[in-house]
Amino acid sequence: MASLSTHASHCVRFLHALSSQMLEADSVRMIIAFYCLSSLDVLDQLDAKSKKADRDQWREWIWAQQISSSWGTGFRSGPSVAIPASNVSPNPGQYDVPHVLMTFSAILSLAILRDDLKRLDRAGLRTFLCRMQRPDGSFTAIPNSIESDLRMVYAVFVICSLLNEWDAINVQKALEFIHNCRTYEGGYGQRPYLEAQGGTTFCALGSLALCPSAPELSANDRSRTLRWLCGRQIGGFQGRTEKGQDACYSFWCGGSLKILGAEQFVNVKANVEFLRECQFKFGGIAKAPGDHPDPMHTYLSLAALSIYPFSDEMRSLKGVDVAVNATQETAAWARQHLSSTSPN
Amino acid sequence: MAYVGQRANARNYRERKEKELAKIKSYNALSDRVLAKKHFGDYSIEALDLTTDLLAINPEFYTIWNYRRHIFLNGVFPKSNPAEIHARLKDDLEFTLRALKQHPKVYWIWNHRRWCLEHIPVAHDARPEAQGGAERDGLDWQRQSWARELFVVEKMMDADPRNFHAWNYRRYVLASLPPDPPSGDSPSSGPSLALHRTPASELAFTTKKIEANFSNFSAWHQRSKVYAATGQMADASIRDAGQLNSPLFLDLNSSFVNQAMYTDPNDQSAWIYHRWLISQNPDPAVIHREIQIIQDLLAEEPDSKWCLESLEDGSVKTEVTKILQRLIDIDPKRKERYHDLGLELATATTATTTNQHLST
Repeated sequence: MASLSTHASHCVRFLHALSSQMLEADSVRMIIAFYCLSSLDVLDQLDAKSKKADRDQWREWIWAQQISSSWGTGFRSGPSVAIPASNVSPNPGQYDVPHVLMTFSAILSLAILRDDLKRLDRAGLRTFLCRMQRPDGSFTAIPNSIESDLRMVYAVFVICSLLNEWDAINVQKALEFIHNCRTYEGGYGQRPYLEAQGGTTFCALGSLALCPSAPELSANDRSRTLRWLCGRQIGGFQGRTEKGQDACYSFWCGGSLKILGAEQFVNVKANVEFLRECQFKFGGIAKAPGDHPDPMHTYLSLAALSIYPFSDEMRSLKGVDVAVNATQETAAWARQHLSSTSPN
Repeated sequence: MAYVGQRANARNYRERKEKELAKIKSYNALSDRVLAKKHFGDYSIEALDLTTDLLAINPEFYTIWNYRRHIFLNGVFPKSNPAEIHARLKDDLEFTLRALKQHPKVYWIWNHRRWCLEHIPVAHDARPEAQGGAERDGLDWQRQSWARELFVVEKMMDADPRNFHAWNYRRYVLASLPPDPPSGDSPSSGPSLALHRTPASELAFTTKKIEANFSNFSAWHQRSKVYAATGQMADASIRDAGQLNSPLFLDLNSSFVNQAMYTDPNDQSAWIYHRWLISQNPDPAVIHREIQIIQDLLAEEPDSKWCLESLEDGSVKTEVTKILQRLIDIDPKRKERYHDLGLELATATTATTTNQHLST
């Protein structure tokens, strides 16, 4: 098998430009940047594959997306969603709003790039997190929205954990929402009433693991969740009952098992065999064998291989802080520079 | 030759770039104009038409959908009669349907459809000619649009039976339907507008989906939601009164679920549903009967891991140890899990935890 470092070039390419096939991804550019940088981080190739000038430019690009609004401060996905200055319409900037998932991605990306994070508007960020919470405890991604689900809850919980400040949000309500997303299957759906799904199960378990006041799962609930997660491995992992295996679930489901302290239940060899087939011969890892690779599946596969290695090369991948969804070094850097009880 | 080719390529590239820049300039100018009108509270038809143009290019610009709704509420509707409002909303439903064909996942488009459906007026003009049919209670406009919505979402589910957004949207549509027409009335033409699904008909819908594909866990999942909605789960009075012909008991007492398990014992969907079903009514007699059914299946399919896994959860201790060993042999991928279950069993205080395991 070719070296894993061939996947670094796939991500570097995307950091410099997105192909025209990825036009739809333009509105989530910050997330793509995060997956690219994270891949390089896990591979420990960031310094080797980029110049300092590039990394400085990327940091500036990310900071340029931090915006303050009447809803608080956060990051947007990129300059393409900015509203240009105008002679005709007064204050078009009011439509430039921060986005919860982009904020999560931006903060972790800056940590990967070892930014000191001093430019973060903490007070504005706290306001933003507070304002995005809905009465049912969930969070919307943007202001004036009603689309809210577990993904945004997870992003908010990671931010609160890194800041080490939980008083900006109603934690109890958020925990209630997480609980309401739990299904009889043992996993967690994106919202209440929906089928359990691997990605949102990770979001729930990660949130609970990060939150100091979250109760432990009961023995019965834990057993049920383990049962459902174990049942997702069919070689690689599937995201829902009787769907096809998909590389990203090696992290969402495999990572969930790690969070629950049940990593020994994963069949490491079978998982690696599947991910091996998902590799694209010119670099990058795809959702399934034969598909086109993309940064998200590349990063999540590498992170899964870091948790569940099957070769010396995989064992040399950087360790992952699963609940934060970043390398341990990056998570530690972020905490060190953001945590309000940190001596820095 | 190569030189000519390069020049042509460079020229093509320049032309494309110029075209793109022109498009961007034109888009920004349009966006500017619309935002300015929004700022100054312009609720005119001219403003409405500009939002149409802008949203046709960029349906993700959610602020503009908001503005469009304000134009309707503050500008257009106050000057319109119910028939005109109805026509405007139907137009928007068609407009968003066309947008969905190119952008099926854009949340704002679905959101705007919801708003349109929820604002379809009652027909105050009760004359038959005005409503295209016999005099009614004025709700037929709403019924027609909601009927079409149900049709649209069910078509999406035919294309992708596991699209959980579609299943969820369908639940919203069913919950939002206007009341059925007063009984005895019938429209002069067209399909029935009695749209409400009884639990029985909804169960039949899931049955149809499941029979088309036993692997369709989304359909099994919906089935469990139908039962939960009818509230017959914990209704002890139904059980106690021995009303064994209620739908829940039909599922428990019919062979429907067992049939799915027998037809494809390797498919997890029916097993997960079955486990949930038993948990809703952990009657020892029922559990005992189901264990027997599973053991019979196991005799025919000795390597069926889901059979064994279900039995592991429901059987007495001595049996379970044997079952776990068998599972380790036939499903070695999960051997660590089975080993762990064995350890759990060894430390469990009692083997009569069957009910605990099966309760939700």
